[in-house]
This record gives sequence, C-alpha cells and structure tokens, in this order.
Amino acid sequence: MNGSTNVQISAIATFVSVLVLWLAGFFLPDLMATAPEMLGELFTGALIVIAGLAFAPDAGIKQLPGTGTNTSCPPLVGLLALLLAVLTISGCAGTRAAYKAAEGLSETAYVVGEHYYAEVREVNDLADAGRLSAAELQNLQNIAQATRPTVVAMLNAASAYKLVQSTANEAELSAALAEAAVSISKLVDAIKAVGGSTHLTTCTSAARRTGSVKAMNYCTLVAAR
Amino acid sequence: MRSALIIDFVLGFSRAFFVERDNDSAISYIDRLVALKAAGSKIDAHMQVVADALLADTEIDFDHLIDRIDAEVDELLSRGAGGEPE
Repeated sequence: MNGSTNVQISAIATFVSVLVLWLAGFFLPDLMATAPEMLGELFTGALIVIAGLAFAPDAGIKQLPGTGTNTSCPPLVGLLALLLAVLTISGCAGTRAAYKAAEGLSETAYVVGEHYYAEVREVNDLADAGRLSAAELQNLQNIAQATRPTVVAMLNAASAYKLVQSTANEAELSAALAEAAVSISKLVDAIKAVGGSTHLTTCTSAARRTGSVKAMNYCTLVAAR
Repeated sequence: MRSALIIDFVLGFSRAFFVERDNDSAISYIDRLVALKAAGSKIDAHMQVVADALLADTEIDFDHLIDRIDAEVDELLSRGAGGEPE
C-alpha cells in the first residue's frame, strides 16, 4: 500500500490485537474457545480502520520512525483486511456443511476425498487462468504426485470398510485417514503459498468445529502442522 | 447472495479507487482477492453439493471419486511449464 504510515498503523494494530487476543485466551479460555473463525483478523482489521481514522498521515504518527505520505490511506488498508476476513468467513459454509453432514468413518473419508478433489481442481483452474508461475506449478505437481497414492489408498480402505465393517478394517481406515489428512495439508500449504486460497486453510479449520470426531482428528492433524 | 453482491461492489469500488491513484500494488492485491473469491466459491459450491448428497443419503461411489481424482491429478501432471495440458 501507500507510504510507511500504513505499515506503522497496521503493525501497531496487529501487535495490539495479538496482545489483546492472547490475554483474552489466557484469562477467558472457555469464552475464546467458542470464538468465531477469523476473529483475530476481524479484530485487527477493525483496529486498523479505527487507528487509520484517528491518525491521519499528518496527525502525530509522523513522530514515529518512517514518515508517512499524504497519499497513504490507512482506513482502506483496514477495510481490505476486514473484507478478506468477511470473504473467508462467508465463503466456507459448504465445506463446513459437508464435514458436518459426514457420519461415520466412510462418510468422513468420502468428504476428505471430495475436498482433495476440489483442491486439485482448483489448482488446475488456477493454472488455466495463468495464475501459477512455472516454479509454483512444478511444486504443486510434485505434491499432487506424492499425495495422490495416500488419498486413493484411504478411499480404497473406506470402500472396503463400507462392504465389511470389522475392527481390522476400521483400524486400517483410521490410519489411512490420518495419512490422507497430512497429504491434504501439504497440498493446502502449497496452494496457500501461491496465495490462491486462504479459504482452504480457513475451511479446514472450520471443519474442525463440526463436531465430527473423525473430521476433528483429520483437522487436528492439519492444524498440528 | 446479498453479502456476495456487497463484497463484489466493495472490491469493484476499491479497484477503481486504486486505479485512479495508479497504485499498482493495491490493484494487484485486489485482483488476487477476486481470484481467491472465485476459487473459494467453486470449492465451497462443490462441498455444498457433497453435503446435500450426504444428507439425502445418496449412495457413495468411491470408485467414481477415485476416477475423478485420478483425472484431475493426471491433468495437473500433464501440464508443461506454460501451464497448459500437453
């Protein structure tokens, strides 16, 4: 964005919001456990807007190292941060619904498989739109090639479990599901690095809140990375 | 639907604002947001279909899903440096 004032205000607002949220999480853990997704981003965006309105480019903030310019517009920076948060919050209702609708191991495996399919399809769409550099494409190809076997193995295990539900099958599917989760998180990380989709991470995190034990296991693995 | 329209409006307005100011970095950032929104919407729409199918107790076809995954991954792997499938 324009000028160093934006950077200063954004940095101050981010620091304050991190501090406040950390204190809230420390003193009110139960309350913060029920906080909505992207609360931090919303809070930071709101703080940037307020700080941007309070500190015009020539209103005192110049005393900090790095003088702002007259063309800087901190409220717009905050507005974009808020917009990003709203985008990611409102954008994953379908993903959340899918994980919530899954009952049992095989259905959870099916949802994870469909999620993987949707991610790879997004990568193809990004490539079609010319939004991937050669290096990014190569990286994503390597990851897709490396992760496909684990996801397919998980789906084969789910198919077998669906036909014959035994303790051995269940254990095999649980292990395969855990491996597939790690594979998907690799793909998510790679797409995130492209900048193509914070949505994926948010929705993966959102799935953790669905109440499905298996989905929670899957997402806990993702979050642990 | 209404929130989506508002978001589109804000994105369009912001882009026009920064175009007026010749701020290329901000324009690029907004373009990335638009791409993100489009990509996220497609994934979410797909997952909503999955959710609806599960709620309707539709029979799960793992073989068909594996075939679709294979097709998408094969298409990705067939792409050359330019991004086009070969």
